[in-house]
Amino acid sequence: MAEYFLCLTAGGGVPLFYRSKEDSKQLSFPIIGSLNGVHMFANTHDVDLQSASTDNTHLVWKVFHNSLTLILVREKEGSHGTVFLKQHMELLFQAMVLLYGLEDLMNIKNNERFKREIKVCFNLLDNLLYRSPHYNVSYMADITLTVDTIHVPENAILQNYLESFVQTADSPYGCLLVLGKVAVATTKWWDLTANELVLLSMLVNTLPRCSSRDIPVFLPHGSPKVPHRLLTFQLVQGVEVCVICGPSPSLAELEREVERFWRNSYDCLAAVSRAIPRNFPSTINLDQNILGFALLNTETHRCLCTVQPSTQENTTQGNIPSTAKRKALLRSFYQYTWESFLNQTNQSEQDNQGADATVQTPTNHSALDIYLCSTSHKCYALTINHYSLFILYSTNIPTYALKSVSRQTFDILTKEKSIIL
Amino acid sequence: MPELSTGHLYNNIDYDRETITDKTLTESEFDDYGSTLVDGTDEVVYSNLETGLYGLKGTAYATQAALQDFDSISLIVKYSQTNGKIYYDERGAYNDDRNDSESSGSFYSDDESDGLEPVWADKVDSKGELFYLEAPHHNDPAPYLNNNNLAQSNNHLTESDKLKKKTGLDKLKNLIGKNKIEKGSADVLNNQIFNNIGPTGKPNNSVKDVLVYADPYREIRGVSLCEALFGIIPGQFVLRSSHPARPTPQLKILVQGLVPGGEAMRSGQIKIGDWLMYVNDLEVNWHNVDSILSAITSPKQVKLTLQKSSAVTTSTGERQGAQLGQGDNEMVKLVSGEQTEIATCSSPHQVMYLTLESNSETAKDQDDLMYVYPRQTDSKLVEIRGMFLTISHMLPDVTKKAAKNSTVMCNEELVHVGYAQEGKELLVIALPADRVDLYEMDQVIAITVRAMRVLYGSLSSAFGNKENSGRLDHYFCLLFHKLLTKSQQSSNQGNSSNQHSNSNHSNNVRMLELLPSVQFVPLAEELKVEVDNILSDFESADFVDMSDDYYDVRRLYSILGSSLYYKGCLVSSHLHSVDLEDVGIYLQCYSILDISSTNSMGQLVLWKEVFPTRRCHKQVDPLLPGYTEPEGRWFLLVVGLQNYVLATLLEAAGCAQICEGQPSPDPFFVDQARATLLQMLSSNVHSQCQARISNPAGPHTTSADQSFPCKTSKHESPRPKGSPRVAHTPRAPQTQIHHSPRGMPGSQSMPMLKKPSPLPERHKNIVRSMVFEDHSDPETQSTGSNMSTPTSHRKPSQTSDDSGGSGGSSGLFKSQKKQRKMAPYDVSGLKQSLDFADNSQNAKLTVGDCNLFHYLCLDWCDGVYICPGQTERGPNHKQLLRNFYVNATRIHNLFQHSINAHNGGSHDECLGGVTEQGVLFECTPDNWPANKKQPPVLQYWIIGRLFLEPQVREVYVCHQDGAAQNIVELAFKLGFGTCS
Repeated sequence: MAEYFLCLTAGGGVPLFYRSKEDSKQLSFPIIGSLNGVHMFANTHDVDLQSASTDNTHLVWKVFHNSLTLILVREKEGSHGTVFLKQHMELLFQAMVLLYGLEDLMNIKNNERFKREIKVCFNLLDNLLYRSPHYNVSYMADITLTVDTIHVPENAILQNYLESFVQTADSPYGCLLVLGKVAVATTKWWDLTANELVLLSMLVNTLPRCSSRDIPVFLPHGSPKVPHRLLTFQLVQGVEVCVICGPSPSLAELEREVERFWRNSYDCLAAVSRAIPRNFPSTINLDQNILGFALLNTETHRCLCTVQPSTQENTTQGNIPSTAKRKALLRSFYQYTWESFLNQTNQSEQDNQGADATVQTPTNHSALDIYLCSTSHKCYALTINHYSLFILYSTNIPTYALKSVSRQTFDILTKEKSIIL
Repeated sequence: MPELSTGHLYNNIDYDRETITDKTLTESEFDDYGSTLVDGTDEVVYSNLETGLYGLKGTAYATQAALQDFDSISLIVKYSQTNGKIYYDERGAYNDDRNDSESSGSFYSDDESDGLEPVWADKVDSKGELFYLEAPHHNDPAPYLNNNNLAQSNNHLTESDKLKKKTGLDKLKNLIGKNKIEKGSADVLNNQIFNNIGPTGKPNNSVKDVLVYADPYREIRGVSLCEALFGIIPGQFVLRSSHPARPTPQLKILVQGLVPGGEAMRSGQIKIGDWLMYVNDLEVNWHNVDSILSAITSPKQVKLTLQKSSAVTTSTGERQGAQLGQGDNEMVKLVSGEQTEIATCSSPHQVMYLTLESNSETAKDQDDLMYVYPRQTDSKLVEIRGMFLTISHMLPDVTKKAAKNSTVMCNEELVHVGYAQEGKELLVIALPADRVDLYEMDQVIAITVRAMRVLYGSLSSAFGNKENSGRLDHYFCLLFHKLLTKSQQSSNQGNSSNQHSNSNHSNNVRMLELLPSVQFVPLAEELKVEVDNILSDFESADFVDMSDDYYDVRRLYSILGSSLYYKGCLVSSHLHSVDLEDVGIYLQCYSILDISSTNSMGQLVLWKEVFPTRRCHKQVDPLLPGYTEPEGRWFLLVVGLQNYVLATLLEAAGCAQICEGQPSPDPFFVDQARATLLQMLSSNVHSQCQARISNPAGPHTTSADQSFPCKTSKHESPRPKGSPRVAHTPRAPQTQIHHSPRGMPGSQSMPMLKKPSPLPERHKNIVRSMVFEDHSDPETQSTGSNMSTPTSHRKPSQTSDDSGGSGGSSGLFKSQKKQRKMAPYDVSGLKQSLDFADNSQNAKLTVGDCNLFHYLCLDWCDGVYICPGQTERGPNHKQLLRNFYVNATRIHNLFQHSINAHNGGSHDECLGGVTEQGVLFECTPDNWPANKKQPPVLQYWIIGRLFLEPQVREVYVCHQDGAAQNIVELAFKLGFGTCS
């Protein structure tokens, strides 16, 4: 499936860069030209070309700050409209802001220089775009705009470690990441916007492995023009602590403190890294037919998401999708249900963005649960208050049981003390 | 030998005025041979003719007295012809040599008028195509069976016929005049003129003063003062004021008719359609007119100031019977193609057909624009057409798939654009996003492309030929009307509670309109056989000495099959399912089914060469090796009468004559089709069809309004009496008929199921919701709803199958598999289910609220769908239905992937292979007073299930949450009687 992300100057239509999925063929220059051309042509007639679709692909166009034209070509993945693409486009632009700064994106003086420098974003962009299999990253974050979390009973202890460490760093922003998933974070960190949370944890996870780093970041909402420093330190394999701070303290200073503060937490850290890929406490037993689920809290922008919920994988039965397939299924199911049924609840927000696939349903009818049965799997989605739960089942579960099992699962997950969403 | 009165004869002609219209017999002439010919009663006429003069073949289709009337009339005319008179109608042409159409044409022409041709004859266009629609009769529910109003209609006809000669008025408007039968002949006359001036009239705003002598002492009973004093029959219209000071529209007075011999008529200056502005310089409107006129207490001269107004549109007052609304009229105009501009819709909408190949050097500006509608070529969307071409050209390079749609922001409005590419040419349809979502956009494109292919063979032959543009305008006008205007109405409808609800009828349901299939009403077995027989009689084309075979002439067309629609629903089809879809699309696109369900049509004759999908566009593996469908040409003949539409697919070549040129509709076939419809009307089939449609067999659905949990107990008492929810809860059968715009008097006498009343019958109602009626026995209809129906016609239960469904513990898929094994069309299945429902009775009563609200079954093999008929339901149910269809559209869309995958298409990675989807909704009642406590909450499921075997079928069910699983399974299992 061909997927592309193109960036051109808005004024002259000069191609700056484009990213494509590894197996997509290269786009020829004339095609890039006409992709941009149609949009520019429409603009000169005061018409804004927003999107186009074929059977399996969506295209969206958007101009950011009169400076950059971004064109995104992406697979449909179960979504019929382009709500998710537009959201995704926004995220991609913010990823560029995060690493390059809004100021420089708005005023590109030298195209050649920009082409060289923007390369710092490629890693993050690629990861956002194509969910590169090299990284064990979130597979829902970019569409749900919630940050992946990991939950173990030891989190409460780790919270204390983090709080005291952050004080040393003289910054209220700190979090503990386990392979890109947030184990604990300070309240300030949680106050960042959803996009920032998603981008930051994704960024840390996509950078090359190292024991500590110090990189400038522009928070897309908080301070898009003034860079902050993102300091990360690897505590144990796969577990990193991140701090966002101002000019001080220096990396070296803080590195010395790491040892002192986190020395005693080794057992807890080991426990939390063992929770991968289950991501929630092993004490919780869920229905055997559950192949994966995503529990979202749309208010706090946190998400608990797994495709390997059971400790002993019963691989004996055939017809059970692989974990990669499960991710894809859960992802499509989310997009399909969210766009078509659940999103109506907050339509007022959507209206501004031009919700194009939504229709006028009666306002006092709102969807609660959705299920879907396919030849290879069954899915169930439910929303209660600001929680949404999306569950992927194997076909062994009878359809009539879906509702009750899903409700039970929801209760188990939300009542569990160690799961804080 | 009593003489047959002229009145009677005329009356009969009136019955069949479409066929014998414009008969220009003067009364005296008619008397001449009327007296020599006949002796009184119809029967004698009939037998006389049969035995003596002519080999009447009336018996074949004359089953009732009315029909005999009708046939004998046609023979009277023939008789006169044999006497050497020239009077002739096309029925007389039956016996003519069929190939001698020119000569019979000359027969027509040497008559004193064109009146003996079929009324539609002059509407046939140069390509031999015909689209003729006559406006509905409204106050004649059953003119063919009614012999009473002879004298009156006699007058009418003569008057209107004379009028027609004088003014050349359109027949359409002419017939509208029939509305006001009681008004006396002159009134009818006037009414016709009145109807003729409309928005289309030429503007002429001259104001005139007329002095009339008003005598208040001259008493006329039962009429308005305006009528009594001036002889003006007042009508009302809404003046859309252009004054900023007076923004509210006012009800003004329109001269709707003139009383014969009245002051106004005598003055000669007051014309129908004038706007009565002032009386003695006092401004009058609908409300103050009576008070102003009542001030005239003594006979005197009164000055009336009138304006010849053409910009006004009439709003039909109560006196017009309120049945024929302006909307209906407009609809008829739209459908008949008289009007190809819809009321300006501000939202952007556009159809374009573009070509990539334009000689760019010599080309003028709009050379690439092969077709555009609406015609204004200066619109934004037309300006940027180059963009659409580029997109559709470029996307395959990028994505390897053809472009489907795109979204643009144009003039601050979001517009969806759909594409269909054919070769180097591109069809673009743009519709506003707030009316049409992307799902629907795709459907609109698909259906348009299919319609164009069926009607013209290909897109390029449709749009490439300039001659077609009129017809295309017609098509797109209706399409936009449907998509833009109607949705506006229906959204308004949601707000105003007192409007009639059609919303669960297919008319207002977008999803169903955009499907290629049509609604099917399963008939009781006996009835079905009868209808099938009538159709078969027609299809056999065995008209004995009226048929071509009789004269050893090769027949012109062979009838491939026909399908019969009643009130927009398919009653019977003898067409291949793909052909049926083609025909359905045609009828749907031209809103024929719409018209036939809301109005009863005067006459409808359509004739069009078609390119059926099955024969022209699809490679189908022959059933028998070596067999191919014959090459040839196909023609679609659609004949409508009242609420019936008969669509016939004719084949030229094959075993019929090879057809050359552009044949025009054959009056003979048209008449045979009409005769078939008349036979339907006259036989008992008609009344039973009516009953079926107003009360279709199938599971009973309940209204959502009855299902709010609050009703059961505590919230019952605090609800104030005036609360809007109370207002609609009681629904007695009478009110239902009364409210239904289609309520026919006949339906009252039919056995009707008792409507569930809200509370006391609750339990019964629950049970009833799942009971299915035995199709083989229409008599049980009345009792079928009752669970105490004797079980005599139920077979002993076949337990093994039943347990699969009821047990449920074995899992859904197992039960589905079982279903695939058993033939779903087996009647025993139905009986079984009856049994099953019986068994589950107890369980159900204890479970409590499990009500079936709505269902929809799409049968792709038969090209039909089934859903409950229209019944008057509360506003909450209306909303529920709207929600049902919105979501069913989405589920349907998802199922398309699975169907594609099943048919060997590309398998969608993620959402492919979906066979079932359900959505649980929660709703609160509409208009719940804000000061009340918590509104009650109703939870219901909308579930769609796809069956790929034995034939592709989609079933959608909407039921209340908490229904027992076995009951839900049962609902799917039955498939709602798609027995063919």
